[in-house]
Amino acid sequence: MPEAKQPKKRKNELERIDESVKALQSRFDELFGSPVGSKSRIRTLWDGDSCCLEALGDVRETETEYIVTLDLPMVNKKDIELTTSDEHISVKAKMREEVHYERWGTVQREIRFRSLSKKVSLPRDADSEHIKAEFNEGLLEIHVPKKNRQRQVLID
Amino acid sequence: MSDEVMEDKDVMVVQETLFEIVELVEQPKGKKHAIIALPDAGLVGTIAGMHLVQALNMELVGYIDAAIMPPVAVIHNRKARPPIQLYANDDFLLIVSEIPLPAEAMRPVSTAFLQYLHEVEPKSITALGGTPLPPALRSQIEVPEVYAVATTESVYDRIMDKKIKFLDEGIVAGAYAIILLEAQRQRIPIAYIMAQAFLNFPDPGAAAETVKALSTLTEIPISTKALVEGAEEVRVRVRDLMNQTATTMQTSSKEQEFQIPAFYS
Repeated sequence: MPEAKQPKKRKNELERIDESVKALQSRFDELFGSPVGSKSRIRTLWDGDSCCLEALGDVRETETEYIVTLDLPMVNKKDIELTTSDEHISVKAKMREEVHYERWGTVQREIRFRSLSKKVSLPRDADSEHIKAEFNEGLLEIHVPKKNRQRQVLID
Repeated sequence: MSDEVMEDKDVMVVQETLFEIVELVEQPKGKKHAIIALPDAGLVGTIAGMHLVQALNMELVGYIDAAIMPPVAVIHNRKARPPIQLYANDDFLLIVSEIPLPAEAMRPVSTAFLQYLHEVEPKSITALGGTPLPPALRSQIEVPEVYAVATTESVYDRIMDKKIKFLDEGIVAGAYAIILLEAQRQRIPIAYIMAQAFLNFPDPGAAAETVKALSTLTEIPISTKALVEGAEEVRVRVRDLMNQTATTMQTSSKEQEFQIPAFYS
C-alpha cells in the first residue's frame, strides 16, 4: 500500500541525509580536527614556541627498504641534522631565511619560523644501523634497509 | 500527483539552493579567458592561481558559496568570504579555492563552476592541475612535462596548433575528472592542462609549467619569473594546505592516476 511505503521511503531518505551529514562531518574533522568535547585530533604543522614548522613527508616501501622523503625547502645540506634510533628517524633543519607572518590569526601574530623538523617512526624490521640519506633540490631522501631482506634461493 | 513526482520536485528545490554565485564586480560576457585552479596533486592549480593573481594584478570580483562545502569562511582584509573565489583582470577570470574540495562536494561544486562559466561565456576555459609522479621520479625531472586533455574538437585543434602534448592514455581523478566529463557532456570547451608533479609536496616548478602553457594557449604573455625565484618560500607557505589536500586526495582516489589503465588502446 502506498501509505505503508511512504514512511519507509522517507526513513530511507532521512537515513541517506544522516549518512551524508556524518560523512561530511567526518571529512571536516579529518581536515580541521574534531569538535571540543570529543577526543581532540587537532594537530598543527607548526610550533610557535620553538619557531619550527613540521616538514611534509612521504614514505614508500620496496621489497628491500623503506624510502622516506622529506620536503625541506629553504634549507642547505650543512644545516640538516639527521639522527636515528631503533624506533625513530629525527630530522631538524635550519632554514636559510625565516618565514614571517604579521597578520595571521590571534596568537600567531608576528610569528617567525626558522626551522623545519620531522620525526618518523620506524617499523620493526627497519635496519636503523644502515640508513643512508641524500639531499637534492630541497628534498631529503632517506633509505632505510629492511633487516630480513628476502634472498633468492637457487633450486637444484 | 504521484509520490515520485513530488520527490523529484523536492530534489529540484534543494538543487536550486545548493550554491550561490556572487559577482562583486559584474563580469562582461565573452571578453575574458577563464581559468579553474583547484587544490590537487602538488597544489599545482593553487600555486599557479596564487601566482596569476599577483603577476597579473587580478582583483577579487566575486565568490561561489556552496552548501555542500565545509562550513569555512576565509578572512581577508577583515572581511569574511567563502573559500571559493573569483579573481579577474581585463584578460582573465580565475576561479580558485582556498581549501580542498571534499569528495562529496566535487560534483555539485564542479557543476556550479560550469554553470557560471556557461553564463559568462568566456573566450576560453583552461583548468590547471598536476599529474602525480612518485617523489623519486619527479625529483629527477628538472622541467616537468605538460599534458593536455580537451573536451571538444575546437579545443583539441587549439592544443594541437600550440604543440602541447596530449595525455593519450591514463586516468584523471578528483574534481577535474568531474569537470572534464561534465564539460564533455555539455559540449563546454575546456583545456585541462596538467604538469608532472609531486603528489603530496607543493610543486611550484610544475605550476610554472602550467602557467607557461596557459600563456601559450591564450597568446597572452605571463611571466613565471617571480614564481620560479620564490619557489622555495612558496613550498614553505602552502604546507598546511598541501597536508589537507593530501588527505582529501586519498578519498578522491587521486593515486589512481599512477595506475596502468586496464583498457589500454
